[in-house]
Order: sequence, then structure tokens, then C-alpha cells
Amino acid sequence: MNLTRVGIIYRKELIDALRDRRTIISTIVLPILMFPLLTLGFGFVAGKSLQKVEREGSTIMLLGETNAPALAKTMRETDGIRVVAPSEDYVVLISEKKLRAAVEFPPNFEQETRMTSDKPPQVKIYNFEGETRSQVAVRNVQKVFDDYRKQLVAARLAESGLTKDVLKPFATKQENVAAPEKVSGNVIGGLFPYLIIFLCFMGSLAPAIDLTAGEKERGTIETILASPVSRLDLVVGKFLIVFTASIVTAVVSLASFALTFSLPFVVAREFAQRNPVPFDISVKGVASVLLMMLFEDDQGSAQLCLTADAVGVDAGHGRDGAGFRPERGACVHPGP
Amino acid sequence: MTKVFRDRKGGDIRAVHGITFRCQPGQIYGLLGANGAGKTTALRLLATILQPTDGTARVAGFDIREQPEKVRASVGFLSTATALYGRLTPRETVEYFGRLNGLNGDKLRRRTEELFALLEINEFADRRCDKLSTGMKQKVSIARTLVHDPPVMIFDEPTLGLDVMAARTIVGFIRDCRSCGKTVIFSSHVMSEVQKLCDYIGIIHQGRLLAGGSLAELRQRTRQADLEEIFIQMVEAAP
Repeated sequence: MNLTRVGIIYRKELIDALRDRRTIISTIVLPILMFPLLTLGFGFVAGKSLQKVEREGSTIMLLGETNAPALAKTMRETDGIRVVAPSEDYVVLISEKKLRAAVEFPPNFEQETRMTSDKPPQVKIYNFEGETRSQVAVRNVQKVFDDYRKQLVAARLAESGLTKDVLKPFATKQENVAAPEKVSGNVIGGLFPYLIIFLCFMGSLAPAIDLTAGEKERGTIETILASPVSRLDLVVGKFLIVFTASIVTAVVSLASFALTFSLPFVVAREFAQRNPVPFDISVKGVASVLLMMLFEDDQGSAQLCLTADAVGVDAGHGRDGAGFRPERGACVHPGP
Repeated sequence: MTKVFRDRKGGDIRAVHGITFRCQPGQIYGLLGANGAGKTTALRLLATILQPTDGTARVAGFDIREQPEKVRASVGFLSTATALYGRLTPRETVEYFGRLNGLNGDKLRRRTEELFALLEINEFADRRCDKLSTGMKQKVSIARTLVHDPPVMIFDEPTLGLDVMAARTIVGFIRDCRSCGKTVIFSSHVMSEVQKLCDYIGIIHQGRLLAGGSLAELRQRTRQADLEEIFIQMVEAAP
């Protein structure tokens, strides 16, 4: 391998790539825009649809309403639940998304709930499994049932001369002892390896195609193959360009990632001070994770997690982080 | 130089089948053949863009199998299919190929200036190649193939698709190469061009060299005056 020639090829391909609008867009512009657009766009759409669901309320149907008049009344008075007249074709209506859920009370439901038995009465909730709005409706209905159940339990306990405390012999409390940067490091550390792989592919795709198939298509490959440069030098030079493109994309998009998320996190930190949820993220933190990844690249991603751990950003339990527990998620989108 | 090739791939397609010819410095050897006869393949083998399945050739004293990089350093290869890097300027293109051929610094700059003056490229030397006209591109391609001043020039149907003026420039340029004492190998399916230019003619058909020699020799052998008639007679006589 002749390093001078590899250098010549690298330099030429670099000039070529920098003048190619397609490469610039896919390697630099797109990654910069991706995170802000994704976050804002996704947040906007999700917020909108959530608002719509809340405004409209869940349409549900009560079957055998006379069996549970008290519960039906509560149901009708609950915000977010809209009760429609019962009909036989509820199955069709749910399947066609005209109805979100149907609740069926068994005969003598209310009477039976007043006495203890080893076979308590069963309410059926018909729903569209996996359909978001149907699940929202089920959740709303379940909440009403939960409250009702608690009422009944409290009444029964009172009858026996006991208080609610009898049901809770002891309590547990979870407390975070890791520093806020570590918690966020854990989450980001779990997310990053996948993100990096994806981004590297994204950025290097356009130049890689242009440097091989593109050259063949345009007929320029013949000129380079007829020059005294060896095939190996040619491949190495081209490989290094593709490699450069991957690295540039990864760096640029992670910088964009850091900026996108550190701005909302200024707000999030305020929120965290009022609500004790530890989460902290900074440009510096993201950059350090990235640097560690770059330098440990050859040792595989398992090593990468360990390194991150050693330097103080706890990415050791990457998989937990990737899970992104909802209470931390609350911090990304402040407000429940 | 002697070149012996047999088929190009292990498959059934024998693009070039046992061709042998010789061309000396200061001569133009023309490969004449129909489309698909194996001209391009033969020339690509010589330029070491492809590797022969069997047989070998010596170009400027270097074996195309043993020292392909030395061969490439001694050959200037120009074909209709070859294009320029559209996003580079003529100056960058020529300098790039100069560097790949081991030129650099003052020597490269001098050679580039020399070629640009000779081919009148200077006025568009710093415009991007994809903005140039076909004639301009042709000049840049010539400059690119000449940057390392190769002793052997290979032209694969260089005038295909060019207008009369551009084709004349090329033909003139090929003559210049000969008068500089370069070895020139040239392929075409245009009879008149071959007749005008070539010192030696090889008629190639279905990968085989049917006949080779000067125009006078070919005339004598077939008792025909016109090259076209000679060509037809030879191809029809072929098995």
C-alpha cells in the first residue's frame, strides 16, 4: 500500500464530495435537522392527538345498566367518558372504531357486590386490543371501577370496625442516590450505540454509492483503473472517505442531539427541582459520551459501556437506559 | 511486442480469442472490427483494466500480468466511455492524474501548463467539468491521458459520437502521437478512419484476429482495393 497515493485519492474524493450537494445534505444537513424536527414534530403530533382524544372523550356503551345503577351514574358523570345508548351491535361498532368500549354488567351486580363471596361478580369490558383510543377508554373505565372498588372495600372495612391501614402492613420508598448526570448518562448511554450505528449508515450511504456505482455509471472508473494506482490504494482511499463521512455525520448529529435536548432540559431541570426527579443533560455530557465511543470503537460496544462507566457517565446498564422508564420520560416532556 | 490472449472469463463468452499482434514505436496499429468483435476487451486487457484468462502481452517492455502498475504508468488510455469527474475542474483533473502517476510540485505544474497551452484549455481550466462542452471535455480527456507523457497510447473508438470538427482534432492528435515516436494502438469500426491513419491493420471478428498487416499487404492478399471490401470479404470467409 502506497500511503502517498491513498492520500492523493482521499484528497480528490474529499473535494469531490464537498462539492456534491447530495452528499452534503445527507451527511451534514439532514443529521442537523433530524433531531429538532423529530422531537418537535413528534411532540407536536402526539400532543395534538392527545388533546383531541381528551376533548372528544371516550365513547362507551353500558350493557345491563339496570344491574348497576349507582356505578352507571358515576360513569355518566365522569369527565372523558361519553355514554351512548345500548345496542346489540356493539361488537361491530367497536371493530369499526365508532365505539371505543362496551361495559357489560352481570345480573344483580350491585346486590352481589355488597356481600362477600368466593366468586365475585365479573364485569366484562369489550375493547379493540391495541387500538390507542380504545385503550384510553378502557383505562378511563377502569379508573371508575377502581374508585368504586375502593369505596366498597372501605365500606366493608368500616362494617368490620377496621380502618384502611389494615391493608398496608408496611410501605416501600424508592430513592435515587446517583447523581443526576449519571442518570441521564445511563439513559443516553443506552440509546447512543444504536443511534450511532444508524447515523453512521445514514451519512455514509450517499458517498459510498457515489464512489463506487456512481463512478462506474459515469464511466470515470475506467480512467482511474487505467492509471498506475493500485487497486488496494484505490479501495483504501475510497473507504477512508466513506469512513470520514460516517464520523462527520455521527459528530454533527450528536451535537444536534445535545443541543436539541439540552435546551428543553433547562426547562426540565426547573421542573425537576420542584418534583424530585433526577435528570441532567448537558452538551458537555453528550460530547464526552461521544468521544469515549469514538476512541473505543475498535473494542466493540460492550467495552464502550464499560468505558463510559469508568469515566463517570454510567452507561453500564445500557439496556435499562434504553427502556426509558416513564417517570424519567416525564422529564423529557414536562408535565404528567 | 507480442500479445496472446485467450478468453476473458471462464464462461462461454470468448470476447478475445487468441489474438497476437505487434506494434512498434512511431507506428499506429488499428484494430478494425464490428460492434462486439472484441476490440474494447482487447484494449482493456492491454491497459490492464481487465486481466487475461490466458496468455499475456508486453507493453513498453512490461508484462501485463507481472507488472500491471508499470504497464499502466506507460500507457495513456482514452475511450469513448471514459468520462471526467464532473465536480472537478480541468486543472484539478489533470493534476490528480499527474499525482497518481508520480508527478508533483514544479514538474507537475510545468507539465500541466504545457498541456493546457498545447490543447488551448487555459480559458476554461478552472471551470467545473460538468459545465464544459463535449469538445472541451474531449481536450481535457486528452490532457489527462497525456499528463505522464506515456510511450504507449491506446484509443478505444475515440471518435465515436463526435462531430466532424471534434473528430478531426482527435485524428490530428493521434497523428501527433505517432510523430512524437509513441506507440499507438487504435480501435474503430469506421473504415475511412482506419484507412487514413493506420500503418498496420488488424481485422478482428468474434474475438479472433482474422488478418493483420499493412493496408498494401491486405490489398494484395484479398485482391480488393477498398478497405471495406477487404473487411467484408475476410469476415464472410471466416468460419
